[in-house]
Amino acid sequence: MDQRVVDAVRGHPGVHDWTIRFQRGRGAQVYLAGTALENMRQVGRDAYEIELFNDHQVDGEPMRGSAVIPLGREDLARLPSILDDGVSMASLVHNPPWSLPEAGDQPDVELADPRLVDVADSVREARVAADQIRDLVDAAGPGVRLSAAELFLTAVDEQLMNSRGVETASTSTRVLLELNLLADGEEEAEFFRQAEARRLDDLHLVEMVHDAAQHARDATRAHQPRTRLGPVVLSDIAVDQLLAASVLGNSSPYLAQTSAAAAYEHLSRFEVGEPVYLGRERMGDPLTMRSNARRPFSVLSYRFDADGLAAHDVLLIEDGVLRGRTATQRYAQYLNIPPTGRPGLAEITPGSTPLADLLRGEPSVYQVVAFSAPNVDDVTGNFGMEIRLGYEIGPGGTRPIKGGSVSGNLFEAMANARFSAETAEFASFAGPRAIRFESMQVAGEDG
Amino acid sequence: MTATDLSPAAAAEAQRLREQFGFLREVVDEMERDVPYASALVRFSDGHSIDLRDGEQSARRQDPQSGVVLTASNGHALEESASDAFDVDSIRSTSRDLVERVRHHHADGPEPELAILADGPGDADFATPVAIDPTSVSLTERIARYEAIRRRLRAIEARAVQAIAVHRDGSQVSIFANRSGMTTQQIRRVAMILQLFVSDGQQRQFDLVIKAGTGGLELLDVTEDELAECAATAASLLSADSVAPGTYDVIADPLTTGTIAHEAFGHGVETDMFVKGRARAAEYVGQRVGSDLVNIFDDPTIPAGYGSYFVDDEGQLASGTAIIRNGIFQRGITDLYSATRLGIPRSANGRRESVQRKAYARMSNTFFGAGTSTLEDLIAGLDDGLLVCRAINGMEDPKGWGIQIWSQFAREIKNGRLTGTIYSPIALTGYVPDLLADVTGLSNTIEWASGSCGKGWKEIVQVGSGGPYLRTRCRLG
Repeated sequence: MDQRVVDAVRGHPGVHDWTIRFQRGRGAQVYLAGTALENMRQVGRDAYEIELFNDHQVDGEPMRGSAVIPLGREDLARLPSILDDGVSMASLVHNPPWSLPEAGDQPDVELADPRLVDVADSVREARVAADQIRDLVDAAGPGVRLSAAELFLTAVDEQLMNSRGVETASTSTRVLLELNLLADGEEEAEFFRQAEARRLDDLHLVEMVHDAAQHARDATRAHQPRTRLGPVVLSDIAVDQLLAASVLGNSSPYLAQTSAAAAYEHLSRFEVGEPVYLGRERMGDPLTMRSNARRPFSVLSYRFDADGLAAHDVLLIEDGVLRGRTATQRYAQYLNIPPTGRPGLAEITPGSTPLADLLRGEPSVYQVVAFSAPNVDDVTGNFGMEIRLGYEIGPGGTRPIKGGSVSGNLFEAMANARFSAETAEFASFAGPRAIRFESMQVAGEDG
Repeated sequence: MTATDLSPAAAAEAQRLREQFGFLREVVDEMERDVPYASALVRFSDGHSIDLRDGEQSARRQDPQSGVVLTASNGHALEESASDAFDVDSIRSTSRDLVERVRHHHADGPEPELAILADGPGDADFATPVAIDPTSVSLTERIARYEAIRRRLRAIEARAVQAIAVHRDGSQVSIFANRSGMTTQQIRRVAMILQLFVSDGQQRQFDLVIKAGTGGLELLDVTEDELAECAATAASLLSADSVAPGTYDVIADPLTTGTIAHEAFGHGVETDMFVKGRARAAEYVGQRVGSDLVNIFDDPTIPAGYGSYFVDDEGQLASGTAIIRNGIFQRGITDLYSATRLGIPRSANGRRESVQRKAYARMSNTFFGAGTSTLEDLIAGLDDGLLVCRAINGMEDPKGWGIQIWSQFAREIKNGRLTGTIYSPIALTGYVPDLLADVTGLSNTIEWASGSCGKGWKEIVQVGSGGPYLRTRCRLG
């Protein structure tokens, strides 16, 4: 961290508290178009984010204003004027006072793949992984070929200091893979998969390519589901998508609704001590969920959050009843509850029913393995997602389905859900590998 | 727009950028002594975001996202280096490292030849016309103005539980250089999002008003009628029914029409998807894909469009592209790599989320052309149908040609009239050629919407979409 930044912030008379976050990121990106290399990139960036606090009065009431000031490298030359602007912004923002965290113990949370910390290693690993993807798809059998792959290997060193004595650091790595396979068949079809992990090995490339190849083949003979209200089992990517943040801004629905911020803003539909089913009577397995920001190598884990609060493991929902909330420093003080830091990975207690039993039903059960994208409103719980691939499973056999949509309200649907005994770790949660919803609306072919 | 069209302030800034970054041409020239193609893009941003809501306020400076990306072709593929250091010494050093990397490139797979034509707009300067520059209005005044609007919205509906006003203004400056010349571009974008949440004690619902575009604060005026409609719609959704799944005659509002254009023949004709075998449209160039009424365009030159720009991130001068004309698919939208690989003329659609990411073929402002009817004509022509309103988002399926759009609500139409019954939420799905073949009416005016667009699940860029009211048939759930 550049001492000039610290000195400038510390010495500004209008700054009454402050937090400085510094990230040094670097990484490699490899892009395959078909099996050809399209682009090989090496990237790096230093980024500061300064949060300034200005205390003032409005109509005799004490207020605390804040402004977040991201800085680029070139901004360091004109730091005084940028800080003046930041203080001016903070003085115009009027919030109830709250105080920053003070120095304390912070856990060691495993966040980094040692193979990816050095950018030269990342470039080499990216090329090796690209070769491995080509080879795995080549070996996946006839009729399947690589359409595209993108692999990002990123490492970030982060430092955080604040005016109350917090001074901490962490190193993390992140791996993102997009894989698209094409399969020949009745009608050529594709299967798209995106995966994120902290470590390269956690992508499980062999299994991922194998499953994607099978899904692509199945998609070539998939048909529309029928319109109906009935049991739907979400598994694989689909169950992760139901509980994930959406691409364009919605937060993970349960983690948003159980946050202190949502409660303070009157946007939470849950009350502590009350069931989380929006008035529906529970008919299925009880929902028990934790927010664990200390889970090793989870992409949602961290050592400290943006305020410098240590990562926590928090019980949110127990047997279908809200027991606690995650709370960043500010909202913890507003609601007078313990600060926990921002949410981590959702951990859901699995059920006792084998997946095979969840997939049984008359006349049939729809199993969805992938939606086109996560799309759950984090306030209402309403969702509607297009089936990218699934299966209709009945006594007469199994047939692939795609197209059409599954819609409903997540919080209500969870009242009549059963969780598989088998478990898996996804990007947005760890817990049952599949969830069966007894009554979910599928829109597909009429009649 | 040429340098002579710039305001004095924009012209002065362009001159400053030319003086600061004129060396980029020399860097490109030096790189091209060793590689067949090279280019440089410097980009940086500035601006503010203000978030006002019950109980709290926040303000932040826009992330400058500043940096440079140097591109070099090795004759088969592109290699790039991106850094946040864009002083002359750092860029020269980065360029030397990149050239070394390219010179020591070893094929690690099949690598067909990539012969890039270094065309471009030459030397030119561009800037968004701005009537009311956000920096000419103090932050104090802007916060007061938007807080007053927020409070007026909240006061309209007794069941309101939260009202949010988000205001953003920003400038994005880019300098592109290749052997054809050096361009500078100053884009100004503004946005205001008003969102009202209501509750009856059990349910939470919301509606919103969005104003946005390239330009100044003149684009953000909100009328009292718009606030009243937002509050009334949010309240009405508390008693909305679920729509019975099935196939319906529908009229899509302009927001939904624009989203159909965006998802169906926007993402589906991004030609990097052609290269990857992911787009069925590649097999339909010159063929019928919709009724005679269907015209779809992508145009980065739309005045005030949220996705507007003058030069794309790979140096292509902006111009409009007719994607579908009278129901016939004309061509896709390109980035440099895919146009070169496919051997087709470029369109100005090579865009990057930031210099830290590669360029892809991306939309700018994508829209249906207008028809000749009025909304009243279209409603009067339906015995039994739905007016689908406020698309929230959608998802592309270029390979299967499926379409999925999620809209906030739909109003029931019976015997050529709106009945007052409202359904929410609405999932619109269909097979794109069927949906476009069933287009039987378009209204005679176009309305625009603004938004963010991802490529798959990442690579967010700002886009516009729009169109008229559109009558077709599709499946709702």
